Amino acid sequence: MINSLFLINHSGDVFLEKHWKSVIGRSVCDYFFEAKEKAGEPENVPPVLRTPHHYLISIYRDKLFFLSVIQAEAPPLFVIEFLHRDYFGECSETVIKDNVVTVYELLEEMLDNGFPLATESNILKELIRPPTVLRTMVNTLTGTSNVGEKLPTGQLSAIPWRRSGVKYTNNEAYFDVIEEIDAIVDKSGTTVCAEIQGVIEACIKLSGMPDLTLSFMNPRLLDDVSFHPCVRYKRWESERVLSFIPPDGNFTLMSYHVSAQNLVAIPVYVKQSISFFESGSAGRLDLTAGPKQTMGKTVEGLVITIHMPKAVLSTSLTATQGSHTYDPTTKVLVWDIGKLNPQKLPNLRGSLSLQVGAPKPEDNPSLNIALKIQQLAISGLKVNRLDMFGEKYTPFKGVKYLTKAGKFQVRT
Amino acid sequence: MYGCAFSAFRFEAKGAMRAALESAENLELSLQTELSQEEQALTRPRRCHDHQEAQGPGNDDLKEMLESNKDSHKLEAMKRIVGLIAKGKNASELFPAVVKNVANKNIELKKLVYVYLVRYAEEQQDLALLSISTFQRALKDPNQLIRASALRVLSSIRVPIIVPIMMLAIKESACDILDPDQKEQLIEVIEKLLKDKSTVVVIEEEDEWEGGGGGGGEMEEVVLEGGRWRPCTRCKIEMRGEEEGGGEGEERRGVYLVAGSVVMAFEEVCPDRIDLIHKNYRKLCNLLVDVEEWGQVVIMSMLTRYARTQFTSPWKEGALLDENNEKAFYDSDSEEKKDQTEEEEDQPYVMDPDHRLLLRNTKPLLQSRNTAVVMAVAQLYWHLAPTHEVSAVTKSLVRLLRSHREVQYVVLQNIATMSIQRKGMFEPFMKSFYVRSTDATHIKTLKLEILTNLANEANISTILREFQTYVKSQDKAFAAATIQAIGRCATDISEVTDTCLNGLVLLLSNPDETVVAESVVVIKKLLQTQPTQHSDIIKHMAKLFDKITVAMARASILWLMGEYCERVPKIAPDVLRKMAKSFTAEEDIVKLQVVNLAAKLYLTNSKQTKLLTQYILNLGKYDQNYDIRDRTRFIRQLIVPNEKSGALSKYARRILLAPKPAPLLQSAFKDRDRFQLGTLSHSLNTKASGYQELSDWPAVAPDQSVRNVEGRVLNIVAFVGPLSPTSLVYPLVHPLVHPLVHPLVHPLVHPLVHPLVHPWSTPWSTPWSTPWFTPWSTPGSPPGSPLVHPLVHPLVHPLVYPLVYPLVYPLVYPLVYPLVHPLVYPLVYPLVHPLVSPPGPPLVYPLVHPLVHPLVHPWSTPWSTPGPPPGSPPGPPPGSPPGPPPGSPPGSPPGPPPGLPPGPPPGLPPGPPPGPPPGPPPGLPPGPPPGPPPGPPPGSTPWFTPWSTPWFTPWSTPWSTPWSTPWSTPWSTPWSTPWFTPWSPLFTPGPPVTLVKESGAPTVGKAKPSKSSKSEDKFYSDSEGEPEDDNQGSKDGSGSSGDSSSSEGSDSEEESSDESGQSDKSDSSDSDGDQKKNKNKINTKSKAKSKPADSESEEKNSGPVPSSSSEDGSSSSEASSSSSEAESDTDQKNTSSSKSKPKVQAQPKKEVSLLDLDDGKGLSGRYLFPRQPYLYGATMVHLQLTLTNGSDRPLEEIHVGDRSPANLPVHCFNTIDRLEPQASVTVSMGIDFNDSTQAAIFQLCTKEDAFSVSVQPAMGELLLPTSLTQQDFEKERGQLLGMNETSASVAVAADHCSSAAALKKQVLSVANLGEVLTGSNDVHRFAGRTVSSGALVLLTVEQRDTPPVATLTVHTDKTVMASVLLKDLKQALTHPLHHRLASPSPDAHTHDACYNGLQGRKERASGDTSSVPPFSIPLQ
Repeated sequence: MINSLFLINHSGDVFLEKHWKSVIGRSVCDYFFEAKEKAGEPENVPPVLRTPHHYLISIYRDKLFFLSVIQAEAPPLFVIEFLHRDYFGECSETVIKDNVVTVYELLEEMLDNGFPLATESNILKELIRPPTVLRTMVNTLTGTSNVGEKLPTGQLSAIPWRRSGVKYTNNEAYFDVIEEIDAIVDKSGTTVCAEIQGVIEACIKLSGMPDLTLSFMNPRLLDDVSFHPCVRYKRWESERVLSFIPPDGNFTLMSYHVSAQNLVAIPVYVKQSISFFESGSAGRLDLTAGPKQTMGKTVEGLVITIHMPKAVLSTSLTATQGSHTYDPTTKVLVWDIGKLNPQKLPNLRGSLSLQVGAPKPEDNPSLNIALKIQQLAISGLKVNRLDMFGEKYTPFKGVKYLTKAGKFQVRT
Repeated sequence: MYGCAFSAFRFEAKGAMRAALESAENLELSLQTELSQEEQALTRPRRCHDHQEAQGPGNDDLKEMLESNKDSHKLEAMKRIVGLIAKGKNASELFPAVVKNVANKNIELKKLVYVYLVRYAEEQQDLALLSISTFQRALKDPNQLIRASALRVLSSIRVPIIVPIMMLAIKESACDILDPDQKEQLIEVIEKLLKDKSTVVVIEEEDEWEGGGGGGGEMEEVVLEGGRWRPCTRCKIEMRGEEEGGGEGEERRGVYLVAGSVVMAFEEVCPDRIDLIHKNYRKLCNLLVDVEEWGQVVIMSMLTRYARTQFTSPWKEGALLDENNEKAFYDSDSEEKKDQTEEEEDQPYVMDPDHRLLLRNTKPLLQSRNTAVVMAVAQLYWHLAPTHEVSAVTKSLVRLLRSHREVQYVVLQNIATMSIQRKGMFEPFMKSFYVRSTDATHIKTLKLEILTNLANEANISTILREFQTYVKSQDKAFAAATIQAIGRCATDISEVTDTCLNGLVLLLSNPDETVVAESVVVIKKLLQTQPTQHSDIIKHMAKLFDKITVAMARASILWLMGEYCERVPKIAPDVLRKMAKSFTAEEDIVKLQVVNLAAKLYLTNSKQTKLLTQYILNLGKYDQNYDIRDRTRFIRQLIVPNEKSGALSKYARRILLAPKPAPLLQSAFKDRDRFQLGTLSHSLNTKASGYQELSDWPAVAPDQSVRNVEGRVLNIVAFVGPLSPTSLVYPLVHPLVHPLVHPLVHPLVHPLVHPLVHPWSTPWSTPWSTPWFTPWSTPGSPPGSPLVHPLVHPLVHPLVYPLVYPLVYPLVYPLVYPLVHPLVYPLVYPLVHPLVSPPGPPLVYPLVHPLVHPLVHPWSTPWSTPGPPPGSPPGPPPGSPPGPPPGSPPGSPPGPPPGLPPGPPPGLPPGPPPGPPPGPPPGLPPGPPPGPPPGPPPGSTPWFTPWSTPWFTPWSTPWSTPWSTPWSTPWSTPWSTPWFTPWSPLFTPGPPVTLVKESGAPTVGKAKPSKSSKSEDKFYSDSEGEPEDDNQGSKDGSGSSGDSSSSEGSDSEEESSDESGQSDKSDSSDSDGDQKKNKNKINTKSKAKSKPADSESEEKNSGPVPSSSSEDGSSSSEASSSSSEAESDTDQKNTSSSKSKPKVQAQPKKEVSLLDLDDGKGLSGRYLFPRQPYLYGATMVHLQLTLTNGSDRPLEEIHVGDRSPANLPVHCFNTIDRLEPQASVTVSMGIDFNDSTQAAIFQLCTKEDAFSVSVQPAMGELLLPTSLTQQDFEKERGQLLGMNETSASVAVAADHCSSAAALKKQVLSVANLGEVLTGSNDVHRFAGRTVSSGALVLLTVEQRDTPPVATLTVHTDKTVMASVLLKDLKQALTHPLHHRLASPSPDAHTHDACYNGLQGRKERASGDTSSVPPFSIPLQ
């Protein structure tokens, strides 16, 4: 499967390489650089490339390219999925460089002959202990190592995602129901398409082997679901409850899609008028945002991002609320509004100056909206209760709801 | 032990030193504990030059550190070395220094050394070999991680000669597994085995790389051995897991862990050894859900390939992929072959249970969070599942689009391929493929591709509107791709071709060159594929020519001019003239095309263009660009005949004006389906190395038994074996005891055991089991056994039965039973039964059964009760059995209680669902035995038989196969509503339910209360109460509605003539005379000719033509009543609303049959569009249904059931409680067609039945008239240009062009539009809005008398709508009147009345225009 892996930073330097089968020379990356050159933007690099002897599958995340080389037929998604997994949380060039040995050891354990072997972070953490400040100190003093002495118990147990012997003094289980609204709203304010995607993020700090059951008030809302492997699918099928032995710590319990029949409430509207004048190389911009269907909650963290046409040189705008910046190199205008006050609607207006002589941009840029609404799941999903079996203590339970804008776009 | 190992290592290393020259020197150096300075200096020059500068001193450090005695130093050194490796630096010369640390005790250090060795062992094989014994020792290390790592390093050396050692090691570790005592050990070894798998693979690859070189022969052997070894190990592992059972989860877990790796190894080593899979197939299927996610992907991919070789195609019906092929196949083939195939087809396709097993076990994996797993399931379903099941994966695939960009990319590629073949799968999710401006370009392009694939007539306007947004995108590459996509839509969907062309032509004036160039190219292609429509577009382009500045576009237009110059004979020379003027200022590509154009025109039209051509050729001759000079010279020689020019000039015409083939516009994903979905090859669209072709389905399935695993069979045998004494006793004991015990025990035990054992077959197995054994064996039963059996049976039966039964029964029973039973049973039973069945149980049974039965057989409840009550033990008297006589066909259930549907359609093939036996054999006694049961009433057994067999089988077949889903609901729903709804008309003006009895029969009074409810309802109630008295009713109607609308008198002449014509036309209707009278009365009595009256009389004319004359009157009267009812509703509103609102209504059309008497089992239905706004849903189209009960029994609970699509917005009529025989009822319902002419399919349900009916609206019915002033009209039209404009000219038939009014009338008969008053007599304007979305539809008709041509132009942003409407109008206008009457055109009878209505409207509108708000839709 995966033959080699190269990590490439933004400027095109290979700063880490790992081979699982025979060594493949770095020169293979040249094909990738060529494609990258051609694509311009890093996002536009085709993920699957073909070279005379190898196939390159790359992903771009956290401003790094993960380039894997494979030699024979393999499902591309297999490789992409493997590369995209979060193994060590934050992954930036400096972090990886600082922990290069750990990363290398991890990679060694994760793939065997190019085939994923241990990818559960719980197991990996036991195999190779993550470096912490404390542990580094202890290690230097006592000479103990970061390498696990024994095979992680979880790996061969029936519940490979949970290590045994977890102990907490405060037993807590938190669930965050986070829903994102994906929508396209057209010029006139009508919704072209809208859907709700949700995830339930869990943070479980429970001792022992708790067996949890999470039930919803209105599980029928959920149309399409995908689960963490710990969830018992059969119980969901028959009873619509989530029954699981949780992994330790943070994980994504499930993700769901709210059925298309339900109308999606669009929490905000934006009145906009962006126009470019035929002559005088100027334009005008006038934006007003207001609440639409917020279910009585406050819209926070409202940010409107506009990718301006290339011809726009600078802006001279005034906002009644929040701050706005325009980056002339990336041509991105960001208006950070913050909390939306229904009494006094925020407005941004002013003029845009265009490159002299450039043709008038024919298309108005679309607005990308980011927002947050605390304590609201816009679909109306509600967690009913959480029950714990298998352990005697009483855990502290908490549920939080949050609605965010996902790919929320207003066309102009 | 480690010290020992270390010394051994050193010893060996020293021994090997002499043999290995260079490296040995290094090794020696490194082995010396204290390194002298000189020796260090010696080693330096050997270093790799690449990295020497960068790390020269560092390496020395490292070496020193490695030599040091302190572990922490060594560790630090190793960390730095690993860092170097990670950076890709060469650290190979440190090998000797590193390798000696391999035996270090520190685990972390050891691991790092291993990491180093894995990387460099291959490069430094000789040195690595020296340390083999250390590894061998490490293989026995107590720490499993070390063992595993050692094996990994060992395998990384990749030297042929160590293969035997490896094999030994592997075998050892494999053998460990079989040691049952060491549980701990086992786990470790499984872990090791994981590594083993890769090891062997490595060897295999080694072999491939080295080809025949080296120890080739030996390698082959190893591979063979490896091949042999692997499956055997796997079997071992899995058997191991199997034996341990679920009790010890850890081992099982091990199996799950290994399975993926094993299959991976299999895929890499011997993917074509399908035979190795057989035995493991079922195990793999069952394990699949629990295997770790990466393993799932590999296993599913392998099983897909396997299944394609082992099972027959589930796509037998050919409904999907090869529909076309199959048709062609039938057409072309000879009769014989046809017969053959028919024979083949006659055998119903039964899916192999193993095939089903695979599909069933993979489905839950769609919920995996791992995108690769979901994709793997999707491709498995795509390649293996029956057509109707494939869509199960759609949702999950669409979900993946939320994932990372790269995932999106791959998934979209796969969806693109899928969407070509099965649009329906993704069409409901179309909006998920809408492009966002923030998507990456390749994502955008893929989405565009999918949208184009999904385009069909129904959604094209939505898609085109999206495309219009995309064309304006800042991403010009994407905009260009959109234009291509529009071109493809235009070729695929002929209805929008014109629209697209118009739109593309508009794009020609786009400032962006890419866009223009692309549009021109696409237009060029479109024109080439549509040779008839050239001139218009070319003319248009010529008009635009002056405005277009982009050279590429200008050049393309000139090319088009030249290519089709004969079609634009007037314009082309003129363009050439202009170009001659501006030639020198043009760009080079334009000049070249000017020369081309000149040449072509010279050939076709030399008279006009000779001089111009010469002028241009002269200009070209002295052009600065040599290309142009060359071209000019060439053209001159070619076209201008002179003595020098050779034979070529004769062919000039053929050379220059040769027909150019039209380019093909098709998807780039057209041929991608040759690759298995989800593979790398599919993604790249080229065959990747190592790609395994997916084989075609075998025509005949290979032997299924290969998948039977002996172990399991043996197990079963073993299980059964000890019980065999019982089985010997059983036949003796059972018959006597069974009747006694069974009724008691069975109902108790069975419901408990049964659902566990038979997840699917529940309804069938019980009834069969009992009669099967009992009646048979009775005669031979010895008398003594009843004592034994009751003891044994309850104990044994539940144990043995569930095991044996499911295995044996489905196989044996269907074969034996149909043959034996019908012959023996009728003979034996009546004789034996009375004798055998003891008197006890019958008393018990009837008591128990009714209680237990509904629990056990949830399906049978609704029917079992109305049947002969089981509580009446005496049973039916011999003369009158409750069921049909024994000879009745097997399809009909015995004694259908009143209201029970008369069984399944007899024509349905008895496609048996998997598991249950086929339908009851012919001749099976469907009722209780015909023979007179003497003293004792029918005992337990006969109860089972008559009940169960006929009930279940006939039902099960039609239910499960053809309409698997929609059936379940209708039965439950009807109960919820009907009790209160019919009364609602009293209080709310709900969709009125009017029950009209045949004349003479008493009127059902449900609707009557409305009579007195409101004075405005007078007309309504009148016609309601006295359906016979049409005249009265219509007079009333005309009177009442006349109040609310302004009267008109001027057109009475025309109208009366129309009336007479109309009544002539309605000769077929029996009540003609009546109606005529009625009409005349209207005409004479009420000069105030108002629309409702028209509509009513119109309806009468166009009323249904029922089969029986008796129905006629009622149906027509009811049509009128309902329309007037609607009328009164609207009137009511009208009076309350302001008078200024014009009453713009068009005429209802002819009724169309919805349901035939035959299909509807007595229920027949017809519908018409009354062209009224629907009160209960602004976006719904009003539909008037007339339901008639043509059967001889009353129909109950007529209501609307399931719809398709399921979310089709329908406002149903209230459930009709009861419809007496021969009665009919008219109801209103609203359907939101969403502005498409796609048929709305819903079910019309009665209490017992459900009939699927479809309503296909004409486009004109999806509109509601709007009144606009001319100014407003012009203004609106100005905003709907470009792609929103569709026009056509049509030669009007003589009948319609006689007067402007006639033409309008004809137009209004087709479309429910409102007229806009214009001053001109030649230009007519109509306006309306679509019912569902309220989009404005503007129609302009320009009439020219000589020749009688009308130009129709539709302006609307619903482009498809426009073209469909235009088509309808064209048809209506071209067909002469008499002709159309003969044709079954839906509006044949309506135009006269329409006309009348129009006149009335015109009058009213003219009076009101001043106060009319521009966009008011009446009544909303």
